[in-house]
Amino acid sequence: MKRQNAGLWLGGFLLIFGLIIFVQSFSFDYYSKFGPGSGFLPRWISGALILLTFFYIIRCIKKERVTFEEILPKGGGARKLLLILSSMAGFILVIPYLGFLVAGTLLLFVLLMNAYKWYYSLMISAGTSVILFWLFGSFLGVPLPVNYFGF
Amino acid sequence: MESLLQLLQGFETALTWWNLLYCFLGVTVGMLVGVMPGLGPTAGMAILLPITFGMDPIPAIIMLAGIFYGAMYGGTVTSVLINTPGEAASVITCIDGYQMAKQGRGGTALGIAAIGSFIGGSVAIMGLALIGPPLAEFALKFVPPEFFSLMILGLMTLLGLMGKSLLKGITAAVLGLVLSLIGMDPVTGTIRFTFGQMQLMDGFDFVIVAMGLFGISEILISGENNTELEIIPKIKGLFPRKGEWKPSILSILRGTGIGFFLGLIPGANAVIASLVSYSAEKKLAKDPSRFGKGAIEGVAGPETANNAYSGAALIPLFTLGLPSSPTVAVLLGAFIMHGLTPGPVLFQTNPDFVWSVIASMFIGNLLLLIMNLPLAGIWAKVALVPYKLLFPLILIVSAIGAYSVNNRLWDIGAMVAFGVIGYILKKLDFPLAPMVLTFVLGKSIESSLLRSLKISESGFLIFFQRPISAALMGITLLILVFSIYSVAKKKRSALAGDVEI
Repeated sequence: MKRQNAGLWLGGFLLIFGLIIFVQSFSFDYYSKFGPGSGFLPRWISGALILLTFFYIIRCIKKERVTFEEILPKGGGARKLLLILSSMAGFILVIPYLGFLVAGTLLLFVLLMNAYKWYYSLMISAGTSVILFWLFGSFLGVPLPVNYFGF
Repeated sequence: MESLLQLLQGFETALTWWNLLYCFLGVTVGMLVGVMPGLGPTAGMAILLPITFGMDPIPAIIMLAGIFYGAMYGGTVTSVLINTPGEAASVITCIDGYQMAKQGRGGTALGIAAIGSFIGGSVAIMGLALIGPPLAEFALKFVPPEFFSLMILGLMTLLGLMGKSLLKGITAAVLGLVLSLIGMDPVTGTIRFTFGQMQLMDGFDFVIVAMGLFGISEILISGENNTELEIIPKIKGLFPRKGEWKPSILSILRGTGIGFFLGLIPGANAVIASLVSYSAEKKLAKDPSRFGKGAIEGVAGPETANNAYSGAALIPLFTLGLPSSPTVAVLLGAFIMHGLTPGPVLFQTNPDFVWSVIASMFIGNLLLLIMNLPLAGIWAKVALVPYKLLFPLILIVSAIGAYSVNNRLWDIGAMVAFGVIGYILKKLDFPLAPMVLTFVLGKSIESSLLRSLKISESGFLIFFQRPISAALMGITLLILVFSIYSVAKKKRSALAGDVEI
């Protein structure tokens, strides 16, 4: 995977996305007696995306070979990237059950624990979550998700 | 005269305690965003956009506009003192500003930058007050064909933001358009391309897309690198020497002109403004060899130009509803979010809003001058807040921001997904600016195109049969031909590099 052409993968994804939109656009009116329909622009624009991606793929094969190894970080950088993404995914998954206050504290704690001593991380995480919960919930009127106990 | 009276009324509204507070908050956050490397004004505004949901439109836009022009001031501080531009438009200031700081003249560099920024910013806002109303009145003649041609012209001028590769730039722009097609068709109301997801009925929200592509992707990229802390030099003496006043003032005047002119052109950006100003100063200098070694004109000109740019960039937004850069596109998103339609009718339907925001920008520039002249040292210390502490906080505020758009977790997921998309696109040198601009304009482009074709008896020829529309299309074709020619001749300017501003 590391040595694979990253541009080619991106081109492939964009091409599939363009094709899906293009095919789906046929299920909408292209033209009606009142003028162009809701399938008119999507067909042209997705067609353009397919064409452009096709040229990009050719370029990736012939000229511009960029591997995943060249663009993705290694070692500490890669771990940090994975930590950010997995902690965000975890945050989204647990927040409906734990509520913002607990889930937010956990998210911050996970992201800060390698940088500071655990008790500092915990204090910053809990403090920030409480402030944000109050600021958004009470001051700005955004009802943040809460748990069974109401926080 | 009528404009002046309305401007005075605008001051009356802008000078109320609440609006002053929001203006102060906006420029302070703008300074913070500008000072902190790893967070640009586009990302900063996008992240804070949801906070303004519950606010009235006037204070909300006063605050967001404050972030926009405040960031231009903030970026200077770190460029001069620690050779690290807080935002892209201040990159050029590092060259001579940091040299001045090394010679113990960091205070002077910051002083002249603040004065230049104030003059450039104020002149540009005055331009908005003077040019805005007649331009808006002229644009009132526009009906769908003219609007479509104008937007196509705007998109064509985006060629300047397309980065090193035209193919990647156009692909990004088309991808933005495709994404804007998801959800309800603006003319017939048909639901399209939702893939069975109820959450996509209204399409992707602009805030989510902007926060993901700019905010989250920036966090992911900055998170990979560990930034080292530097020692800040002491700041002494804020004003230039006797003999330096004249060249500095001339540079400031030239920078104002360059920034203002470039602000009017969709597709230009603050970085181009400061670069053009720097090269103009170097060319006009009696002794160009001083540049790069601490020439005061190398700070005064570019810093003035990027502030004049940010004021003038609001003219196409207020009068034509056209965003000229991603940051302005976020502001456009904010207008729409608050139920305002940017464009010619704005001056007629919401004059109190328009003039209050314009008046607040004068006040904001004055606040920034006060904040920068004596307090530059304090701001520089803010830049030293470690990124390892900062990014988790930005991340959680972004998550709440995304959630607050529709009060659903789905949007946080969508924001992270757009963050990953933005990260990959950036890594493969795809410019994000065209994608965001076409995304924000997508629905307007489709509705004006379809409405034009509905009223047309000769199909696409309608765009060439009406004088204004034909002129706009003519300019568009000229730019297209010129761009293709320059690509063929491999003369794409170095200025065309992709920058997130």
